[in-house]
Amino acid sequence: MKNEKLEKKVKEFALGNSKAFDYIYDVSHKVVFMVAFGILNNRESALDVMQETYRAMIKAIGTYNSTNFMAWLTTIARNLAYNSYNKNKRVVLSDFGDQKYDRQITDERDEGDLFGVAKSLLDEESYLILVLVVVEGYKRREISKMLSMPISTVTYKYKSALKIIEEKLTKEGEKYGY
Amino acid sequence: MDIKKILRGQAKSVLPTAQENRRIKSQLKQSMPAYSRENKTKKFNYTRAAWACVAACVCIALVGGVGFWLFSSSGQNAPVALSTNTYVCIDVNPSVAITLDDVGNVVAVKPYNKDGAILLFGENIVGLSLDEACDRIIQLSWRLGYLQSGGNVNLTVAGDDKDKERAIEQELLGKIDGFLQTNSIDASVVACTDENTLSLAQRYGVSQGKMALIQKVCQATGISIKKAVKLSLDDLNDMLEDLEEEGIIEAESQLNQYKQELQNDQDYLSLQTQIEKYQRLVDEIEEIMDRLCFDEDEEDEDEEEEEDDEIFVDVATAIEEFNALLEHDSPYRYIGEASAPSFGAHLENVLEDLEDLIDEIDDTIEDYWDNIKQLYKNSAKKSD
Repeated sequence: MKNEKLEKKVKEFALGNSKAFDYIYDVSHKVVFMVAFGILNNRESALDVMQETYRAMIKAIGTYNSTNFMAWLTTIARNLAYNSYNKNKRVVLSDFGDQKYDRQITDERDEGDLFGVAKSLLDEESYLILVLVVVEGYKRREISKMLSMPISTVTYKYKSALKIIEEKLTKEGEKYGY
Repeated sequence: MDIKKILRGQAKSVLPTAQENRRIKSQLKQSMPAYSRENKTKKFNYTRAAWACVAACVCIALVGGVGFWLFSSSGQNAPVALSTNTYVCIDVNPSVAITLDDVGNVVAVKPYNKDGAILLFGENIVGLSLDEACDRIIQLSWRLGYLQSGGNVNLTVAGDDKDKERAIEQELLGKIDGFLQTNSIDASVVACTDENTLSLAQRYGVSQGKMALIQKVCQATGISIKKAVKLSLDDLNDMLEDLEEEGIIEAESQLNQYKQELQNDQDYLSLQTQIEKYQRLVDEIEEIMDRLCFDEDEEDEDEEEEEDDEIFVDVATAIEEFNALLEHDSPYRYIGEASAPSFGAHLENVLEDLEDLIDEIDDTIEDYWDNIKQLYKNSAKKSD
């Protein structure tokens, strides 16, 4: 299974086998990028955050002591993305005050950007599940292990996420008459 | 509306490109050696070391004390070690690893390198006994020209049970040596454990075979022995398998292509058809033999069995059914008396002939496989 192999490679990488990094990066970078992109809604900033995430991961790999590498890595990505967002907000978006990230991001988004819509409507976990299934092709049972969550919950959250986006799109379509 | 499809499409348009990924990866990799140097040059903290020593002593005392108490109070024998897989690595240049279960059956065979992938391509070794598997691997190495006069067969047996490990190693050394002598192959078989491996194994408290695997992993990956001893045999085996993963995948995909091309070769296809036909015939004859009751007394005694459709009512019906399987001019048709012993003897002869025939065709098919493997081996050598 993809996740099991990833955990093995992480273990090897932690022991000093730098060759294992390629595999880790190849199977995780899309999810890391989409998590950052979902928060920042800016491709270049998301790329920077992605790179910073791996840098932080390399530094902290010795402390990794779990079997949920992907969950661990996406937490790093999310924290770094919020840090980056706060930093940029102080410079550009200082008027937004204490409003929630999601709200602010939604206001700036192009409605055609489905991940943006997803990010604004879904909770963190549902968004991550959606990205893991749709972008990286993980199986729901793998995600359930990865996020320590029953498969039924993963399935429910995934199906609900798709339904919420679909409803939103249908409403938008009706609003604009298409 | 297919949301998934739209999401996938949108993700593709924003995800990092291959070029961006290469750039990021290379920048990240550049930062890795600095990280390891930083780790290596950490100052030695005497206070921390002193506390660690005290803690270690306390732990040893506790573990030893509890262990002694458990052992002396129960009065039982030492706990039985859990059974785990045993690995047998055969290295001629093609390097392959055989995984054995706790009763000695081959449960997996994997290549460690490209030549190993060539060697194992199309082979079905899982399920064979260890002797048969080793025999097959050495035979293939010889046929494909990997094993030559003056060459070496390196053998590594790794398991958690040291005695079992040594026993398998000794047995295999003898068997492979016997095979080399029988086939007049001027090569030698050696166990991959030298004095250094032995002393390291003793120092770290692992078996010689496991230490040999650890040394291979350390040499290839740069991991220190101290760290690698913590890995299980499964992990070590996985790491060795992954070392030349790209080469193995490339070899397998190219050989698969050759295999596809073979499907257009009429001679090869006709051999396949023949072998299937004879195999089917063997199955059907064996079924007739099973249903044929040789002992007439037994037949009378067991009326229930006689009534059963599966058993022939008389030998004549069995003969009729057998002849119907064959073509009219087949030399195997039975024309003798309708008695179970003579018909049974005829069937046995036919089966023997058919099996010889199948073996012959199998050999010819094997030659086809050897040819495609040789073809790929030579082309890979040229491109290297």
